[in-house]
Amino acid sequence: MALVAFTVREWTGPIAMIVVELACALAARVTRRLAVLALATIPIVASILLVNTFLFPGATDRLFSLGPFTATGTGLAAALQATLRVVAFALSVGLFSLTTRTDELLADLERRGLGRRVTFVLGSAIATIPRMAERAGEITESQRARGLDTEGSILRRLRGVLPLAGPMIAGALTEVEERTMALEARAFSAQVARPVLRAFPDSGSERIGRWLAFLGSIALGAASISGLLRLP
Amino acid sequence: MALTLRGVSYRYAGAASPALSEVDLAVEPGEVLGIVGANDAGKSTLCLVASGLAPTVIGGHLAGEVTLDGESTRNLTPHDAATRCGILFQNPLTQLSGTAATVWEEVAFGPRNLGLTVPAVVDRVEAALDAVAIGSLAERHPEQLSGGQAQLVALAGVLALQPTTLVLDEPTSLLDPGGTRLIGDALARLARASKVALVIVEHKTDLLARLADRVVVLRGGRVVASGPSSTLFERPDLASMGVAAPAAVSIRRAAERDGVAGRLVGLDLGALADAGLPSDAEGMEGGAWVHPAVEGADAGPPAALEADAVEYVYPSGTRALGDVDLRIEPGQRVALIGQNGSGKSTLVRQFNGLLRPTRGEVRVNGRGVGRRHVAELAREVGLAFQNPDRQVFARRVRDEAAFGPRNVGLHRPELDVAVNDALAALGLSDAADVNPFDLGFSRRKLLSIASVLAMRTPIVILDEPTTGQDADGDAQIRRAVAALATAGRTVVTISHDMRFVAELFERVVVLREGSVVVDGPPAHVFDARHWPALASTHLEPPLPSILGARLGLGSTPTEAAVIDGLRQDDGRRRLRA
Repeated sequence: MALVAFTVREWTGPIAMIVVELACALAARVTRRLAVLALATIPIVASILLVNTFLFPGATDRLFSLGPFTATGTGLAAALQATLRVVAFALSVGLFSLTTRTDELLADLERRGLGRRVTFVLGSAIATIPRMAERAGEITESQRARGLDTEGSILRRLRGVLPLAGPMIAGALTEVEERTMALEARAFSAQVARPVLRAFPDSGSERIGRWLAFLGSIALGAASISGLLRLP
Repeated sequence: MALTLRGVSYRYAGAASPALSEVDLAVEPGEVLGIVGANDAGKSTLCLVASGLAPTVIGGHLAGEVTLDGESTRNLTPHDAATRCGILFQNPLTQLSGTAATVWEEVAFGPRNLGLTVPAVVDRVEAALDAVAIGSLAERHPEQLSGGQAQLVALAGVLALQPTTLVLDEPTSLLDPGGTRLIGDALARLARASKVALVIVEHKTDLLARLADRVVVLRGGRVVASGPSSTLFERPDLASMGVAAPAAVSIRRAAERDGVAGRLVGLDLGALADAGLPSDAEGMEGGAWVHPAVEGADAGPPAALEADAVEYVYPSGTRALGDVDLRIEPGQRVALIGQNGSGKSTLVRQFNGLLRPTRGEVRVNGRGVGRRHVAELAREVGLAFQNPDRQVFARRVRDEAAFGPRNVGLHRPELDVAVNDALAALGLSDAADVNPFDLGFSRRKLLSIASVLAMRTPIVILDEPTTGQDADGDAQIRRAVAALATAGRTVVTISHDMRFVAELFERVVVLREGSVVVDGPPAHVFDARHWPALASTHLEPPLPSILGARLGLGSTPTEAAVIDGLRQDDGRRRLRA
């Protein structure tokens, strides 16, 4: 979906993909959570809109002026298109993460031949994020309980960085050591292929659908870029 | 022999002196060996060396010979060693692979690493789940388990490799009493039903008295005593080796000293401690058990801490506190107890503003907490957290202890006095210029407490102060709490250590699912009629309470109370005779 949104020119590609993504989100009942994730695109969308609308190279169709900057119609159109592509891309990533469980993804990747170390590193990297956040929370709490003022000005907040960073790094190092030992104690370094425990239901029609979608996207993108296909 | 150590010395990479010196040990299949000793005696090092992780995985220098099933660990790869000797650490969270969707798959992690066939993996996982009796958890997500359950899963994960020796490094130190009992029962079952040689490092000698056939005492990296657990724990010089005697031994000895041991003859105190409580908590409902609150206190001085119909709901929607009313008077010593997740930590965080009540009001020294900054409340309420490694950051012990008081506005020379006093109160004066990370965990924990005491707040809250402490550290904390009380400061603690609670605190508040279910002096809370309430939040009364009830002495939550009861009982009998 992201591929189509970015490679198919003009409006049709991104708009069609956003429609498809929203339909998928509705079907998977993740619309609300997807909307929250979509909010994360606000900063980049805002910058795209501002830069393109006011600074589009070579555009002359003036809409209005703000001080030294002039908004152009071409710029605005380009900005809106770029925005739609970014939103379509963000929604496709959000949809993927909301509908795919990490452990299942990893199990499937390993089944397809990804090494156990790579699988494990990916898995722990993902699992580490909430743990780091939790640890940072605990550290901040204990320093605040000792009178470190983190409420208020940015300067005050910055003062909290050192007492936070020290235990954060020390804690992460200790944890890495503990985890390494725990892994070795569970024969992680044995040099043999691991059996696959879980089979994922993957019907023939699903597989064909997936390949069609993939090849179709490439064909669409290629046709649009080469100019064979002209869409509004 | 499943495991032998012959003349083993071990030095960590970069360390000047050895952590283990000339250690000789042998453990047979099916035997349970307990390892005790002060902190930094070399107990954890012994675990790493016995399991082959040191030096193969973590480096360092090993002299002497360690064998697993007759094979030297020098000749074993880490995964070979793992199939001969399993190891379980303190923290269940860092031991789980973190990549499994269910408990079943988590336990399968090890056997899969060995490249076994799927039927063989299935057999091993089922056997391991069976061995620790957690078949019912098989489909659960590993992250949704309690601490005790997660530790059981980690244990099953190690057992699935079918090792002949299993080494456990303080497996219950981070668990609540319910979790400790889960692990204790699982290990007892293993010891009975399997041929696995068990090596258990524990500060909880009550647990070892129940499980171990033999006990070894380490001090300064050397074996200083060993023998059958029944005789070793009776040794009068145990305390001098940094080891606390089990409660059963301590009570019997005190009774003999006072000449009132007559009624204890033929009574197996250890078995009494093992049995625990009937988990039958039927017919008990929250409010009925609450000790009547002190009424009409409005006329006196304001309460030190006050929660008025406080409810707290986390952003995730979890209701951690529901309608808590609690009034703690200035100078009172109060212990909050209850299983993990019962709301203790959430409650104390209301008192220094780290969390704000969803409903109700919290007052500190008579003033509403409202929107006052945490930093401002820190002048009145000092809160020492459970894990020192989430706090300590300075390069010198002295600087760490000065961080809090400086934040709350203390200046030199007053600051220096406060820091020195606090360090002295926790026995750290000699370490003032040491780097905190060279201290060892238990003294670092004492430092985290000292750094809060140095703030000289009228109210001090200690979250699990005795966790991971040996006999000396425990005594140090007891002295510090007593000194705070003498100085008239209000002390609140959260603790899973019922002996500590009963002996040092004048009031005990039991929390269950975010509500106060019993509240009163230890003799009231640990009285037999409240045992179902305690059991419902996975707590057990201290052994003296169980013994007192058994002998009809009334409510005797401490050793001193039992001895007193025995003395009075003795007097009555003489009178009648």
